[in-house]
Amino acid sequence: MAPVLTVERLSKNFSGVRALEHLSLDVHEGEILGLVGPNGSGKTTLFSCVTGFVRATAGQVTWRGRDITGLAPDQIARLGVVRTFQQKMVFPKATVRDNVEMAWQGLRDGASDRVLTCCDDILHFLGLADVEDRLATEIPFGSARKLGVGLALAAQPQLLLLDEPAAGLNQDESRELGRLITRIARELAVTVCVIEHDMHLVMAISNRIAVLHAGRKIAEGKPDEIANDPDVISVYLGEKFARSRSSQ
Amino acid sequence: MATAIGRLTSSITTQYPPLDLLTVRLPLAALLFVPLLAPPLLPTSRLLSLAVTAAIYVIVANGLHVIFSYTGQLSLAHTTLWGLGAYTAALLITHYDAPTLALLPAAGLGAALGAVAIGIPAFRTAGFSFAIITFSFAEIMRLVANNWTSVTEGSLGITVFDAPTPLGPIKFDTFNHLENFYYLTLAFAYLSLVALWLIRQSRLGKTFIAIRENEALARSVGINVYLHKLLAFAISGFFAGVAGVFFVYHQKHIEPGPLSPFGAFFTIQFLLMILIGGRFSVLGPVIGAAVVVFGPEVVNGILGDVLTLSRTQIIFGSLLAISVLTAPRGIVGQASAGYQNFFAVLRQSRERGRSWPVSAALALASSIVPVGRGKQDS
Repeated sequence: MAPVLTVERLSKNFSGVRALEHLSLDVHEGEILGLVGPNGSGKTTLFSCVTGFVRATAGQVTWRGRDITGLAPDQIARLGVVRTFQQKMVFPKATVRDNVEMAWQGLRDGASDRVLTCCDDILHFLGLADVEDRLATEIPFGSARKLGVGLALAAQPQLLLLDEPAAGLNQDESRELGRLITRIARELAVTVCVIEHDMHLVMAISNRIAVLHAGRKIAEGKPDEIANDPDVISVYLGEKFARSRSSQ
Repeated sequence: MATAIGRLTSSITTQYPPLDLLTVRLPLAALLFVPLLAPPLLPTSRLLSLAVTAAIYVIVANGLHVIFSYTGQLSLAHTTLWGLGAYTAALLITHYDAPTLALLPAAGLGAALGAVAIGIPAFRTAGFSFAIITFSFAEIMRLVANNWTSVTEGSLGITVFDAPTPLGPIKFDTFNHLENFYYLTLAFAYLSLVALWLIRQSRLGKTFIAIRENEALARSVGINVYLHKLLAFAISGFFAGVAGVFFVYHQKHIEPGPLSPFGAFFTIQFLLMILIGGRFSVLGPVIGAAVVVFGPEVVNGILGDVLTLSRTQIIFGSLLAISVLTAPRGIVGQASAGYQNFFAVLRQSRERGRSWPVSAALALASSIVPVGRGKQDS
């Protein structure tokens, strides 16, 4: 399968700290790519560089054959690459419906094959139609996380970059969010790249997984390959994942 | 009898949305028509002239609402744009004898262009820096108006004796037909209110609010933040420019003095109007303008026989400060929270089995001093 997004030798220095070092990564059409790695390994920086929120020090990002390095975040979003945020992921002082309406910028050109064609569609897809009149700060945290994903969906992405969508969720909520991500990939035909610390979740939903460590990619492959990769186990998954496997 | 009253109260307290229409929406709508009665109600032409000022302020404040309340940008150059509109109008009248119908779009666009000119560099910054940069531009424009004597007559200013173009037999000069001029200004104040409401309902308005609430999130969904801030600033400038036309017709004079629109002091006064009226309501600026213009008159009317003018002004100023401190969401926000609290407490209290008079007293108390905050109506 041809890559839709190609990251080539991307580097980012934050005043001396090397957040990303010559990182190369391909994202393939229609897949769910899991992005894992310890805190500070550069996962969020990678998202920020790809979506234009942070300017890379060196390297190139290509989206469907077009060089998008250095474009503004809103330009990149309008081209179909949309990210979510770990924190401040919704508009707090607005209702759930207003949140989606604020993010909704109208159907993009040539998007006639879209499954979600209006704000109502999005609310129903997320299962948030019942709480549409409540403030975004009043709904349960799990629903707020979903709403955050929904705002990105309102921008009609072709590639969705989810930054720890299950952070802070309990197991049930986390599992439900996993189902939502799978549905986004299958039903909406959106390619997904997801940063996630919950290993159960990543293993369950990803077609492929890339492992970052200290700004470099140390492994890439199918979930079971990653789980058995000695480098990965020693660097990151280590005892944490070994424990989770033995408990299965 | 007791059960009948019980049934009535429960129907009132559980179904307040239809009552909402009866007790809040309609009186509020009726309140909007009160300005139409100003000429017969106001005994002197001085007070009617104040009503004209209030109507002009409403247009200016409504413009500020777009950039300050909706988009969340603290512009200190707003009344400078108002002054820009006023100068545009004054120059077009004195040099070209331009009709009112041509002045309105010309002054509006002039101020909107001024806003874009300021906004292009200023929106590269945000927050306090933006406020300071707009303040600098306001000062620069005041200095230009003061020193570019060949065009602006410098500190002497431009005096305009013309009245708005008559509409058939209806004349609008402020000497003999102040009533007509008031209604003309009021019509545009209403128009600005409708425009404000339409913006709030539109996708554009939602985009402005998205920028206010979370700029990074707005960017991430594809909103061009810079462009939309410029657009909001231009719209807000257009309102101010249109108000400038009425200002010139009313004051007959525009100069770059400290008490003319060309002073940061004036912009602060309009920010105050919005804070007092309510930042989160379309009606906020209207209420705020009315309070700021007529408030001193009311205080003076009550205490004027006992205290001197400067003392009553101190009292009015203190009242404003107290109002901002105790009602951070403005008069409109506080009133709507109080209203919601009244029924919520009434219902709760009845459910707990308290008697009807006790519940009503509790509800009344909680509506005057709202404990919880009402639903935000940004």
